[in-house]
Amino acid sequence: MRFKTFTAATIAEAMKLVSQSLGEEAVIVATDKGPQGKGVRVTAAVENIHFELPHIPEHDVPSPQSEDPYDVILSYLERHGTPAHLANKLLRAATAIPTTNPKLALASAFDRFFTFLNITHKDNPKPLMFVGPPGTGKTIAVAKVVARAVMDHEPVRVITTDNLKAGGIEQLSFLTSIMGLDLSAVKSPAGLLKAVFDDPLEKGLIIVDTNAVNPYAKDELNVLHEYIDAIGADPILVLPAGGDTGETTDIASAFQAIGVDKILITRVDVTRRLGSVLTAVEQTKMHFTEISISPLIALGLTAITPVSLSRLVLSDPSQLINKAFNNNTK
Amino acid sequence: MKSNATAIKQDPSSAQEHVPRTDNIIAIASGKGGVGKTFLSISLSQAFSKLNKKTLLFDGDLGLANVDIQLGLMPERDLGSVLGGGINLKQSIIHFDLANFDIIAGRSGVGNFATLPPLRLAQLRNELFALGNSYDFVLVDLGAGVDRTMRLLSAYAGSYIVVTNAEPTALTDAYAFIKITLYEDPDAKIKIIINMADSHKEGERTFLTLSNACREFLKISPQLAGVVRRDKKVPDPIRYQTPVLTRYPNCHAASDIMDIAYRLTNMASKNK
Ligand SMILES: Nc1ncnc2c1ncn2[C@@H]1O[C@H](COP(=O)(O)OP(=O)(O)O)[C@@H](O)[C@H]1O
Ligand SMILES: [Mg+2]
Repeated sequence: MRFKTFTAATIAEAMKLVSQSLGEEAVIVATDKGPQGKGVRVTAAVENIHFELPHIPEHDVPSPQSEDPYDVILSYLERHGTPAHLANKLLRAATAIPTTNPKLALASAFDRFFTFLNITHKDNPKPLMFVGPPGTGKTIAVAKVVARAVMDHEPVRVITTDNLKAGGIEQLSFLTSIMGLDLSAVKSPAGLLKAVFDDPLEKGLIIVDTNAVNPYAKDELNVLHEYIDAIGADPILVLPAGGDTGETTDIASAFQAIGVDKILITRVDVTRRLGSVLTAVEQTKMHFTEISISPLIALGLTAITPVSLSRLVLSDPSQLINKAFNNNTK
Repeated sequence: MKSNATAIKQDPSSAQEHVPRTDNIIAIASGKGGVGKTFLSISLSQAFSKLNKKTLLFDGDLGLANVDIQLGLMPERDLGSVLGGGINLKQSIIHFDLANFDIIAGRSGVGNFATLPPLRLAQLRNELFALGNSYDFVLVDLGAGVDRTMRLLSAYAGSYIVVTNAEPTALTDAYAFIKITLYEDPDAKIKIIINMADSHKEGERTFLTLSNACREFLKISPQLAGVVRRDKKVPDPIRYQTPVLTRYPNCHAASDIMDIAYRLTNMASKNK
């Protein structure tokens, strides 16, 4: 999401600037007087979402002052187990844009302090490498990215370094074979390099699944680092929501120390607390990428944006997924 | 969304565009109470006015408002009347003839606004910042401490002047204020006034202690706005209720404050 403020002598001129700069899809968030009371100032946002207020069910409204959008934001952040310092930081930023819509206000706070990147796009020539501690959903995330490429008729290669876990290769090779793809298994960084360069893809994706790494074991991290460096991969940390805040942050920091700067969130369907993920990402300044809502491959991944993250945080848990993402799922 | 090849977050210049930062708003803060925030807020307002800068002093110590008390005012209108409904913020402005600046008084002694809901606080701040359009400077005398109320009220001020003296607890509290402000608002501009210094030299040493801590742990170097010496001429405000710049315009403290005002007008005036 992008916010931009335009100042002009008249509303019409300001609107013209808005559409010239942000396109026809821009949504006007607020209009007010220009600096020194002269002219008009229009704040606009672009995003392919709607800005309507969500229905917040009765039992979810934590305080009697809930008409106060900032109270709503604070109580939801608190319910997610967000530490007070981070909640206050987000609140402060939420008050900085001229809207009292809590979703939009929180989205703009996320927009200010977090970055959001798409992992698979045509301009990224780097192999994507999915990394993380045991049992976070790496292989499923890999399968989802691969499935998406196959459906989009994009060439894709799948390689795994997962030779430790019993059944690790079998699980992935079963998934790739359903999609009519080969799976190369490699045993060393040199092997990975060879696999990538022996059969170079003109275009398209190279996806690498990795074996789980203990974030507190230096030697395991070092080996992973070698794999990453061997092919100049774009490493993506696969981490579940709902964990302990300190632990999640420690894990993210351990991977960040070997150059991992993107995070893909899993298990969003079976958790109700996003505070740990928010904290870990804020502390490490990693980029949000996508979230994996369900273990079903068919349900795929969803790009996360400031607005969808805000919806996710400010939603009734029972309807959380659909409502947060109904405008983003393909 | 899919074709979004680059970071959705924009370059820093446009990221700041939705922050309503207003250069001529100066928040006077401290961690600890009793270090001279209110005294300096009043005196700086008067100093600005002497430099022909139109100035508004807002008593933002919502828990323990006392600008009016230190000035011996009995304002008919104050923030209480605004928050109770009835009048708007602009209507609550009173002119302080003696020193020629405007004041929005807090409500001393009666009630406690420190528990205002966040929306009301943000609105109050936005209204105040909007009033700033018709002033060269708006000074916000903040309460002590670092509670949320105070942080929201002063969020996105053009700059923060953090007041401290040489006492270790005042210094650590000032550091805590700076740390939390920069955590929440990494672009905040922080300046320091060392008050109640025995000499300029001693004040500069105190500043170094604080700025070294900021450099080492926060990776920032705050600016020294100035040192104000401890001065017996600073009257016991409750007893005399007359601003120092009026009673003793040439005393040490007054001349130090004039120096600071000169410096701040060069740095932060709206250049009208
Ligand atoms: N430079 C100074 N020299 C002497 N007394 C001072 C000086 N600065 C402040 N004071 C006195 O210190 C006391 C506390 O100041 P005040 O402005 O009320 O503190 P704060 O607003 O930070 O709580 C007041 O009596 C004030 O007159
Ligand atoms: Mg005071």
